[in-house]
Amino acid sequence: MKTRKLTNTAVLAAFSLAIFVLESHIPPLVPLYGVKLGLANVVTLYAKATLGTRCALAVLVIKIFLGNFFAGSAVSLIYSLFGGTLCFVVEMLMFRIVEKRQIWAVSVTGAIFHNIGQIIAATILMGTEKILWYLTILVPVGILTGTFTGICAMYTLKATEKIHDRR
Amino acid sequence: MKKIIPLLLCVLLFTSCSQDKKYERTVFSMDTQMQLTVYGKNGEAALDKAEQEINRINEKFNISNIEKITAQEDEEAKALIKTADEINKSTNGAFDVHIAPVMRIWGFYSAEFGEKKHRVPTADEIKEALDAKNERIYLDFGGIAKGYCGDRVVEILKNEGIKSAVISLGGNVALIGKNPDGNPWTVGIQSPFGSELYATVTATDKAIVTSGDYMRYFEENGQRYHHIIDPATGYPVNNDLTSVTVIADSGTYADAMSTALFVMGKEEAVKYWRGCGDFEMILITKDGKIHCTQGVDIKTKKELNIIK
Amino acid sequence: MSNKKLIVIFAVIFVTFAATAIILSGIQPEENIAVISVDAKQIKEVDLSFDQTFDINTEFGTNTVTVSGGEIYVSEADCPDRLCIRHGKLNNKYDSIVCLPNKLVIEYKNGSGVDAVAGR
Repeated sequence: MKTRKLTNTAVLAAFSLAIFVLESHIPPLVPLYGVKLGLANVVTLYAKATLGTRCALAVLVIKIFLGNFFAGSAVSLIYSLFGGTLCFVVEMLMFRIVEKRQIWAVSVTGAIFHNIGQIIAATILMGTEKILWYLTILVPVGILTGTFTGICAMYTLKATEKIHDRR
Repeated sequence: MKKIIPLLLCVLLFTSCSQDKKYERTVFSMDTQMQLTVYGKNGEAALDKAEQEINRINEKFNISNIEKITAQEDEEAKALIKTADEINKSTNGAFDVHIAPVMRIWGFYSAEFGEKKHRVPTADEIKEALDAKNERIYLDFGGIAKGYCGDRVVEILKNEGIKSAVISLGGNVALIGKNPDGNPWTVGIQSPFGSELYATVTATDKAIVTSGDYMRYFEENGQRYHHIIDPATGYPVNNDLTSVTVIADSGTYADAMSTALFVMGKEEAVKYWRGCGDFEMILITKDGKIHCTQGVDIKTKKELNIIK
Repeated sequence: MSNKKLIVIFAVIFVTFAATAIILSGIQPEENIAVISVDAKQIKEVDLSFDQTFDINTEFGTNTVTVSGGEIYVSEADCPDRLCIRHGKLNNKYDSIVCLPNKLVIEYKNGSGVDAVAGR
């Protein structure tokens, strides 16, 4: 079992990295360097649902560090750290509250907090609290991306029901 | 449940509509930059008329055109001179529109008349200028024109139905009504010592005018000569005051009085206020203290004395 | 919690923030002055009523700032990402142009909360 989990985690981590790198080529939403949409979250969610919290965490950590190493900078690393961590914590909490069919809500909440985390990092980095106003754009956007990734995750889970380990 | 979203959107639309629309304009006139901000439907038209009036007054009362006004013919100039002379009398000559000859030999009209720029005149030249002043022929409306202009602008804006406005004619402030939040306007008092604000006051429907020795001046041989000349001596005022702000209903009055009180010095000014009191004033002395009459709603971090 | 409730909650959050974004983006600054800071220290105040172009040259790098028609923006920069240029003109009261590599920030000056200043 352990080997299977390990390989599955690795595969998911690779997916996550791929999405992360591709995503970094999308023109910036907000004139802040390194603020991301967070589409790779779909993989983290899938990992949590099929392999459990620890594996999901592994996927996240690999994505944050390797992803920013390959396709980011010191700055985007910090954004990813803040955003990713906050998102992860919130999502794990949400998972306990909602039902299986409401994973999309986990994703939306995660996306919102992912962006909040990024903005907090930006505020600290730039030294000006005026950055916070971007929240008014990024929270609604987060809701949209979160819905999208959430639905993707749910469909993928359904489609691969027969293959993955049940948590 | 899904009806909430359209409802929220309606609320959003309403809130953005209920506020009176803001109209702003910047006018360069009377040797300064003027900011007019009005609220109300008729704002654009009102500002057009106000701008026209500013240009008209500037043309008419500008020092380079002054000699055209012989004062015998023109009703407007006559009325303004009359007001100025009344203030002259009640302040014992501290404010004098006939001070033009003196201003001229100090070189304060160099731009308009193409003469030699700021210079320190000799004692003889000063005496000669003072005599010319006493002949009461040549006029300088500089100490009262902006205030008068403010009054005229306020009148025009009100005629156009404006109920809320704040205008600043190069530091001469005039207020109509309250601000869009329904509170009195907040006006800052410029610090004579630096670029920050020294204090803030709140008011509605008032004119707020400041005269100070830090505004227009020149330096020669390490000495600073500012533009508020004492009509009695012919020299720039040199007393304990560095800034006088007058808050009154009339801008014409506030403008002239701020100059007059500045010439008087603190003790005389306080005496005068106690005797006459139809205005409020804020004095800043050279030691940095603020002395303010008790009717003013003032906020400051500096040392404050209330004049009763 | 039912799906419907969740949708409503998120919809409300969405609309609130989006509405705020729309309202705030329309709020203009109180003073026509921009402040340029480098490394969190204010180094220059710019009067936006006058067209001008100048360089901000520091140990971190060089940015060329242009004021035109009352608006301010970064026209040239030696930073690798050039995001400061892509930002374009400074928008509403809450906006800021940031050049992170050069630690440069351009914002509107905070109105001191006064509607006018007497004696300026």
